[in-house]
Amino acid sequence: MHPILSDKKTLFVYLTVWCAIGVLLGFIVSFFNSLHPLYSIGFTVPMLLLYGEVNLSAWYLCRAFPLERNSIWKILFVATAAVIIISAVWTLLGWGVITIIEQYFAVVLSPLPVSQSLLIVFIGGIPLYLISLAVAYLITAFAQSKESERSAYEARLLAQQSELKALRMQIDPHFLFNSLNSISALTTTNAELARTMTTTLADFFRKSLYYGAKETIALKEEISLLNHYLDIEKIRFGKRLHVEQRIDPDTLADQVPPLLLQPIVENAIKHGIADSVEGGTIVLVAQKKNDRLFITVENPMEEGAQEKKGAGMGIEIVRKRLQAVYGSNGDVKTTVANATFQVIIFLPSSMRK
Amino acid sequence: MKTSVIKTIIVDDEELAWSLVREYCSSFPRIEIVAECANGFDAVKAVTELKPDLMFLDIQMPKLSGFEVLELLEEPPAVIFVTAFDQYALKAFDVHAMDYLLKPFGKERFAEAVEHAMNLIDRHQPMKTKEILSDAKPSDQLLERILIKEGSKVLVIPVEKIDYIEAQDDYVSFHTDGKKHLKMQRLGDLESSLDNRRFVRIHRSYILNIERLSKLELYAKDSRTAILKDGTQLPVSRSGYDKLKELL
Repeated sequence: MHPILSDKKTLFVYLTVWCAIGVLLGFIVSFFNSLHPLYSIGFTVPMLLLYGEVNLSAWYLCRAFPLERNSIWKILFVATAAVIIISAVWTLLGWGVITIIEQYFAVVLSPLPVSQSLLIVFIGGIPLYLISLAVAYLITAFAQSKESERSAYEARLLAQQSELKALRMQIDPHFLFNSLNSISALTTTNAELARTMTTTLADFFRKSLYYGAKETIALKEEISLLNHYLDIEKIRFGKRLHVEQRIDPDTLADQVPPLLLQPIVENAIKHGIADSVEGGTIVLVAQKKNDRLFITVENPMEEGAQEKKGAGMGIEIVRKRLQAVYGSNGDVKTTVANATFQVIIFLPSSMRK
Repeated sequence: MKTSVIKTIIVDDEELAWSLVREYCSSFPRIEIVAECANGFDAVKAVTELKPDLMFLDIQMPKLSGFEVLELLEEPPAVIFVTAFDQYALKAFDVHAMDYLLKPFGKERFAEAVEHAMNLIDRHQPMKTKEILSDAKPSDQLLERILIKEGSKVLVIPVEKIDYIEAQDDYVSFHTDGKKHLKMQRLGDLESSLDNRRFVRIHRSYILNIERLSKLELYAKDSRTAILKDGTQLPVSRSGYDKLKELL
């Protein structure tokens, strides 16, 4: 669709510009031929308005001979030919229209002898059409660069989404191998528990694959996934791992990005339990305040232990994911107090419609 | 063929993991398990006191990793490393033809590793502990703490607590809060694994924590003295002064 014809407003502006050029040329003609301006404007304005219509063809020419697919010589040849033909067409059309108006209304529009007027019109038409053509090429190039900018942006967005997808599936390989080792140890000492652990491990992986493919899941589902994970780790760490959960029933239906808490709980176990001789308690709290969901994960911290690099990266991933979904309405914060490391996640409370 | 008893200790923080090693060991009559340790400190203590021939050593453990345990032992026993996943360690083991067990492992694989170790023990072949240790860590990783064994106890000193380090023959001594702790190590090796924005080799025999520096005094041409906040005076060489100037 033609960019000027497709929009009434643009067409109005376009014709106004041609009208203005007509007025300007009228003054110039009157000045050089010592005529009254009104006398010449009466001729130039209708002529230029007509030329404005004719110049719309520059767009089709530019579409038919795009810069990137034609040699500069071909375009120059086409442009030259077009300019001569279009300007001649305009001159003839203008002569016809002016003659009709003059005879119909019995007025004299042409300020100069007809042959002289037509020559000026023909010569003047050449640079005007060249300008139109140049503008058409410019608009096309601009539109193309905007289009490529947009597709680059879309590609980036897509890359970000697939990166997020990769991030949510990051499960520590230690977890899998250590769990399998525990099962292997249990087969002789406690076959029943070995079987329970095998099915729990399978459930955990199945659920994480299923939930991981979704945009958001209910907190209830996320917690059931976490419980599978914690059940496995409880078998592995024995007396060293205790878990305390305080989940407000109001929050269970709230939607959260899948596997959001899993890496945080994994970190909590790694730093609070696996790195500690006595172990400790992981505390998981979920509550709602002013339409916001707050989820807290706490783990005991060894005296003198610093925040490990791994924890920092896990938190960074969670932050990225929250911002991708909720913008500035979702974030994660960490605090250290009384030998406890605390991660607080907050996001807008929203339920599935 | 000798058939002496092989005193063995198992080091793993997970009870299930060590129960599995114990179970597998039961089919080797020569192996006598003398200790089971759930963390690195206990392991260092047990090895020092019981002098075992063989040690099953988990790498990922609380407080002290398997590598740190090994670093602290002057005369380590033959070691079979046990790990779930550790890319750096595995590379180091392969380079030095060191046997290791990957969790979960089967009985055949376990028997292979034990026979290999028994062979080494019977031939009194020492392990290349030092080389494995230096290859098993990413080279760009900076030291965060210093481990020192005093008797059968292990001392952990965070690097920021160190005032300065002094070379003494084959040893280095770490000075912290007016106390000093000896460790068998070379000052040059230590220098390269410490953060060089904080620890400066000011002299052939001294590395200084620049946060402890109070002032520098010129006392002869090309020869300066560093005065620490607690009043200690240390010599500064010409090149040491250049390094300090660059940092301050």
